[in-house]
Amino acid sequence: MLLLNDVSKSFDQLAAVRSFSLTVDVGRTTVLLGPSGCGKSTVLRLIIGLLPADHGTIAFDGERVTPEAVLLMRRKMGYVIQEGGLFPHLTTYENLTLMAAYLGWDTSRIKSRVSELVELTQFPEDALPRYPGQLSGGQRQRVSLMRALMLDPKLLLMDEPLGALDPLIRVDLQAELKSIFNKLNKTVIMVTHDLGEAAYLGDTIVLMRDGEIVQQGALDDLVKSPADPFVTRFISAQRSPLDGMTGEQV
Amino acid sequence: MTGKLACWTIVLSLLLCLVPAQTPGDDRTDRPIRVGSKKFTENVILGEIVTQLARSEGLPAEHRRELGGTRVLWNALAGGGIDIYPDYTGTIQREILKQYNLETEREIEAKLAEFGIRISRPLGFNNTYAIGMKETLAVRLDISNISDLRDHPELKFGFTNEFMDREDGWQGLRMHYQLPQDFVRGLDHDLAYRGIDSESIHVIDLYSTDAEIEYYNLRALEDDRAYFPQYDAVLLYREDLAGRAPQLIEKLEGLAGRIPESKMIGMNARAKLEGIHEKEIAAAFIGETFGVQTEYSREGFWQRLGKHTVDHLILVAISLSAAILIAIPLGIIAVKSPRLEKAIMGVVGVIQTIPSLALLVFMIPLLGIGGPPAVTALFLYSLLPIVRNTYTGIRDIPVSVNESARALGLSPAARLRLIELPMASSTILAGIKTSAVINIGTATLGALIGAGGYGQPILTGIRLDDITMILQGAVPAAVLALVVQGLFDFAERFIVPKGLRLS
Repeated sequence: MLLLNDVSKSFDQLAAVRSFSLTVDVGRTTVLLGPSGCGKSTVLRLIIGLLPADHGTIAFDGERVTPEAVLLMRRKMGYVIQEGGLFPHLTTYENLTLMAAYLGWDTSRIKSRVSELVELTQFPEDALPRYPGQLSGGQRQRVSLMRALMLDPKLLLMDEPLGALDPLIRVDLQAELKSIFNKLNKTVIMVTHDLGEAAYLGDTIVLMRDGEIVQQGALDDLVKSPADPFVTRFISAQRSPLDGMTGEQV
Repeated sequence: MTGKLACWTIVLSLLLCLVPAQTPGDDRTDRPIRVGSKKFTENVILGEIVTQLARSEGLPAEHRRELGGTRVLWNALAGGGIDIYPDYTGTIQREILKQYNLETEREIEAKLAEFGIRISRPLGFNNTYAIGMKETLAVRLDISNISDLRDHPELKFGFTNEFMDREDGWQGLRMHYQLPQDFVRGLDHDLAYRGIDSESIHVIDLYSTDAEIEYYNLRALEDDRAYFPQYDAVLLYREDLAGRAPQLIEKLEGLAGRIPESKMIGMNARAKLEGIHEKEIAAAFIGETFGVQTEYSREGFWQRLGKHTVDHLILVAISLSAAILIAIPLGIIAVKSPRLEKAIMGVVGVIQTIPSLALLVFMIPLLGIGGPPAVTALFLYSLLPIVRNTYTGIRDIPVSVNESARALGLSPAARLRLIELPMASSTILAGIKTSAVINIGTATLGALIGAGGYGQPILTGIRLDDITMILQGAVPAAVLALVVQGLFDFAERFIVPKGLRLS
């Protein structure tokens, strides 16, 4: 489904991602986890072609991601970011349907797809004519997710999708996201710095440090057989203040 | 995408340059005779006399009155923008042809012929420069010659801007007479009379035929070291006019010696002190001199206002529309291409630093006088606010929004149309509004190069010391600026998306 082979990217001589190789299988949810500045967001931006890789190859759906091919590939990917990135001059409905209308979908197809998404994300239908500035933070992230899912992409990329929300809403939305992932059975790559969120939503956790993968696997593997003392340090640092609680509640 | 846009912008700019460039060069024989005049009353009266004489010979003629100075008129004459205008021998010798150091009439005539210009015989009066001060002050300080000024370094001098710069003006005078004064200011000639009357300045330059000399009770100081040359009034005209309208040239040669100094001073006084229109004065002169009844139309207040409004609106509408068409793509290119960004912002910025009057005058050798050079100058002047606001409006779109648009898979052109331009629309519109207001104000200077508009009554009003006349230009210009601003505020509701107007 998605293959990253020996990918590197630097900004002004500073390596952000180093010799990064990763295989993502269809239907799996992979979480890129690590402290801020470890390069996890850069990996997402390399995949969707917002940044060109300095070195290495990325292949999506059997095809290499190149500057020429990336425009069409992006239409098979959904991308959700922390601030939502909604277009403030368009209503919620227009935000959702911009791309479909641009690609010439007919109105009835657009409408039925919007109804499906509204139901899936439990977004209040009467808020569709509102502008992003008139929505709550949680609603904005729902719109962002719906917009990413509009064209029914094969791959969903999420960069700290819940990062800007307050903790209570965040917990609710984590549960919702899990149920949405289960229903859709989509391939998802999500970036977070939150171990609990990673453990709760991810099938595979990829722990990163300084642009490199330290270890990947299920949470249990990371806990029981850490590949590096950093793995244990990272896990215990997030767990210790809430000792005894499970990831779901963090 | 950027390349395509750049191509279109270049093509549009070229087209725009071609359109006006065609007009001044036309040599159709049936086009009206264009008479020019400088922006002081005597010259306007002489221009009006020539215009009415041409019409009395059945020739179509138009009077481009009150153009902004010797250089403007000379360039227009040499370039074919006008066919004939009144000037003075001293000005021709010491200013227009100064680099040739010509002495005799014959030399001057031969040099003018090289430019395709002919000179008429003198009209009869010598309007020399003179240095003047209030009679009462002159008596008190016992000053009668220019040399006497050397003993009074505290006197304040106020000269016309042209006199300050001219070869035969202040610089030469100061050296010739070794004058010590420090306080020397440049100002408008008609304002200088008011300045000397209120004693905020003490010494000014005079034209010896000015009616104000007597009116304000001024003393013209004796040029005791013979600095100023003869300034015999003559007509300068293009050689081809002799072929096109031989009967007019014949008639004009009949003017030689027919305007003695007393007559000219009398006509100046009627215009400036009695407020009689130049057209009426010119008609009366022709009636007395040639026994010919000439017709002239005097427009009423509303007719004049209508004409100036149309002229002004045309200047503003064409230059502003062209500026919008060119500046928005330029702004877009500046954002999209870091390579061209510096060049575009640099060039547009430099244009803005050129004083507007200078920009207008620069256009004359290229485009003649009248509408085309004024429109081109206003167009150039209107670019910066629109380019800059387009650039900032697009550049300041939040990164998250920009990346979302790219990540959706929108093509660069679609992103521009659906996301970037709508989101920058309010900023771009603000730039257009600024440009429009600057444009409407600057367009009043267009009258100096014969483009008409609200600047015309302002110029006439300054020349005749007529506040009402100045207001006839200044008030409509201000009202127009407010109306246009209001229109843009109204348009904002339709152009700027509602979602951006929420907060």
